Amino acid sequence: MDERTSWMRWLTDLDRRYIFVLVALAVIIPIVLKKVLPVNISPSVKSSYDFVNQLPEGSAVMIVLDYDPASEAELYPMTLALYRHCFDRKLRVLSYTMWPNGAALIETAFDKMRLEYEGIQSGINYVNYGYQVGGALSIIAAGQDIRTAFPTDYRGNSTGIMPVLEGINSLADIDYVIDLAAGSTIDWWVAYGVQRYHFTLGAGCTAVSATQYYPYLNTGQINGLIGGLKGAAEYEQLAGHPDRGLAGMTAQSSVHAVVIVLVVLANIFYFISRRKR
Amino acid sequence: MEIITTAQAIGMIIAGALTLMMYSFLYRDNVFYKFGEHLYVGVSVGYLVNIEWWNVLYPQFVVPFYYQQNYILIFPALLGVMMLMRFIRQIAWMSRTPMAFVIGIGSGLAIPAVLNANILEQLYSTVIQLWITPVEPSTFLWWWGTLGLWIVFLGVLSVLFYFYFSIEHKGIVGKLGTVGIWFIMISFGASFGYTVMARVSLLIGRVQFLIYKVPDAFKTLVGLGT
Amino acid sequence: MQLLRKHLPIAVAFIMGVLLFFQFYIPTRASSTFLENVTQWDRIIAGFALLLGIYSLLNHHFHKLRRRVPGWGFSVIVYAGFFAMMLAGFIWGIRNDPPISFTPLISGLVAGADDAVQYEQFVTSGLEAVPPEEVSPTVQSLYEVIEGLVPNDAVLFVVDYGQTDEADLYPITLVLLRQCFRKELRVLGVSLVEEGEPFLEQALSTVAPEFDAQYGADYVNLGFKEGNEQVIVSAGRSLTDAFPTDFEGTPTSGMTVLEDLESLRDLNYLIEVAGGTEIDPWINWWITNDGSAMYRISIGLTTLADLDPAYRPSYGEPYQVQESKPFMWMYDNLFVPMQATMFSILAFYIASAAYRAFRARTKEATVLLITAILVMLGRVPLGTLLIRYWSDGHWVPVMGLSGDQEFLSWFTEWILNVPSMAAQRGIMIGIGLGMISTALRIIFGIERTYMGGGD
Repeated sequence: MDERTSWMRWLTDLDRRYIFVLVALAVIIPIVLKKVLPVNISPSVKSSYDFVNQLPEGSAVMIVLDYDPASEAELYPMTLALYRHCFDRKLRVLSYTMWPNGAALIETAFDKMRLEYEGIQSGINYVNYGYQVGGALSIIAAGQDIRTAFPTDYRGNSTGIMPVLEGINSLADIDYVIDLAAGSTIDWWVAYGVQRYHFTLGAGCTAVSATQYYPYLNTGQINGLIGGLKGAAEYEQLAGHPDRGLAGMTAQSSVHAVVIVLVVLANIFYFISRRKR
Repeated sequence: MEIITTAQAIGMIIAGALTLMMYSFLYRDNVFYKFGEHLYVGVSVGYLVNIEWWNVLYPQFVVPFYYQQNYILIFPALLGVMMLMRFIRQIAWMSRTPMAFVIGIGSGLAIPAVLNANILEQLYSTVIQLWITPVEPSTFLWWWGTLGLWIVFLGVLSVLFYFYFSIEHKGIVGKLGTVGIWFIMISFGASFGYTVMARVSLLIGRVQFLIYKVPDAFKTLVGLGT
Repeated sequence: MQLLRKHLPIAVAFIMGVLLFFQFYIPTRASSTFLENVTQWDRIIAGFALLLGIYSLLNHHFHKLRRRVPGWGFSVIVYAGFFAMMLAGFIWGIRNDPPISFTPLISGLVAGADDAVQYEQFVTSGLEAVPPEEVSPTVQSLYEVIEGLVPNDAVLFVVDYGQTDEADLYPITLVLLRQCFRKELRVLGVSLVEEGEPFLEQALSTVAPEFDAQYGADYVNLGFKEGNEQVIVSAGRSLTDAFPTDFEGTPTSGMTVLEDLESLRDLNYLIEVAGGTEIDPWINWWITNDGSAMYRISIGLTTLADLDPAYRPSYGEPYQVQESKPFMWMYDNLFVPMQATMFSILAFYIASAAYRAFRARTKEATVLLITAILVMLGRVPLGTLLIRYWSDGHWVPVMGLSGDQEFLSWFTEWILNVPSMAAQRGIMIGIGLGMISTALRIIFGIERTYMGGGD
């Protein structure tokens, strides 16, 4: 009896560094094995994909990268999948961010696209506006007059006569806006953007905040919601560009399994110890 | 096809080393972690100064004020400078007016925006449709869809009642509040599941970098090519 | 003083709040201009406010350095990183230059009958005609490069084989020409071996009419030119000097097909169909002198199977190199990895917290736990593998009501869209009401904590 309680006590008070090792192994092993599993496509991601897919060539899409490197693991694969889909369909891409630390990340992503899609150029096929101060104010400013709101791009080049902005005077002229958000910027885009300027808005977010945006999906204020690395994996699968998202799903599965087992075990020990008393 | 330059390969190896240095914190706080943490702080401030100039002050103030001769913008610039006086105790009160200006604008903008987007639209969606269309009525799918709409209606109502603390939670209000708690628990459970997903994804990103990209960088340096 | 310190800010907050509130409901031009100006002013003020954060971080470490607090060495690192990054951005710029393209010597290679057959399949039915395992990368490369050219691009089409190789190389010559004419390219046909001239003439006169190509406007037959590599070097300087007349003696200067083409550098591609060692000198000259760099043009080579080993080493795919400016280098290799890693440590903590703290102490907590487990299972491929039934000798997944998703995945989606969404909507409405009430309190001066500093 004493033996059982002693090892049970050891298990319930387990040094958390053992748990760390378990989690590390659960992530490393599937990644080393490189096994990729296909994912189920959820309707919320499909509706975003379908909307981009039916946009005619030359349409303008604004992809707002409202995150910084802290969330890049989930949102950067989403960004690349969207960029690739847009450039495949020869759409014009406008990007900016409301997070200062994310401005150069947009530049990195476009540099990568320049290598993959020969011939695309800043100012002609895409533009990176960099960091725009003011949060929701940048949305309102862009909704009023985009050239006054964003007079230069990330590097300081004037946007006044950029070919990529032909025919675009405000957010209302943009065919699709997608906000990839690590924080609460989606709320701002809905409240200050869609309510005032009536453009079509899609959203991508970290899994942490995904549940709180389903009300917007239900009312139609956003027409698609890409949630977390899984959402990125689904979009990669739809767009035909497998990358980090799909590659990470196996590791995701195994860590989930580990966490579920840990939680169930912990509760089993808890119930057993409660029954003793 | 992408080729990594030598500089980029060295950079990736340094990035890998810094990643491992940061992870050493899991064992215990140590000098490597402190080094990385302080380097991060320094680099981020240097980065911010560049972004502040190229993405904020230059386009928002210098271009319209100097190049487009919009001289009235001297006033917000002065307000901005007054805001900076916050750090000098004797004249810190000067920062109140610009703060009030900014917060006042924010509040004025927020009221109609939040009212429409977060309250009216949400309520409208909840009550506008209480049976499902366009599905054939009385089929299983119709019952299931309509049940879903009623669950949403009940859920929104009960959660709102749960959070209404101005009256005592007794009788019908109390019962509704209890139902609300169940809905909230389901939602928070889903959130927790998603939070685990999110945090794990961050780790997966880093491990993918260490296992896929860093060996490629070593190979480039040694000359084997990718 | 009271006026400036206390009353003015409250008045400003009130005025701005009321004005911006009513602005939303007034649809006039003046109202819109007012909003634009106010937004611009506000953003400038916010821009200055960012400097506060920068100042406070630097100040904190400056004091640590000055007072030599234990651990001040790390503050040196802060300043080192700060100066390095800041100067890198201002001196070398914050944006990378466009990538530089490198063209290989031979960017497409068809060698031998098998390759030729595969190439013909590509041209007639596209890349899908051949299963991926059987595709030869060099053949695919040649096909893709020519497919990537646009109408009016110019190619130098060199036919360099004689009667001995006619059976092997004449059919593929026709296939290549057909592809060129289909893409509406300008074809400059030439031969560097005397025996090749009749085949060139025959091929052009067979294929050109099929596409209504006009001689002199869409293609030209420059005939046989003696000299091997000298011809190419001369063409590298001036096409009209290297090929003053066509195969019949008609002067080439003034021909529409050569419009805007000064030299080899203005051509888009060089397609060579070669049979034997006669043409080796010029191809070897091209390889040793790095002709692709000299003339900014690479070769698509079609030859016999036994010549493959001689030329395959010079085959390569075009590639691009992106150089990084120091600022972007530091961002990509120092800033991003460190910030991403710091936050990824949370993964370990959440697993540890789940194990040590997450107990189903009450019924509500049990519901929370079960929902969490369902969502964790349903959102990953693993979960969808779990609910299956045995039928006809293999496991069949149970499908959800929508029919297109497996059960657990569908059920998780339902939880997120129905009960969870309902609760989140209730919370959203509650928060919205709270925000409106706070905004009203600020506007009416009841809430003054944002001003800071007493009063």
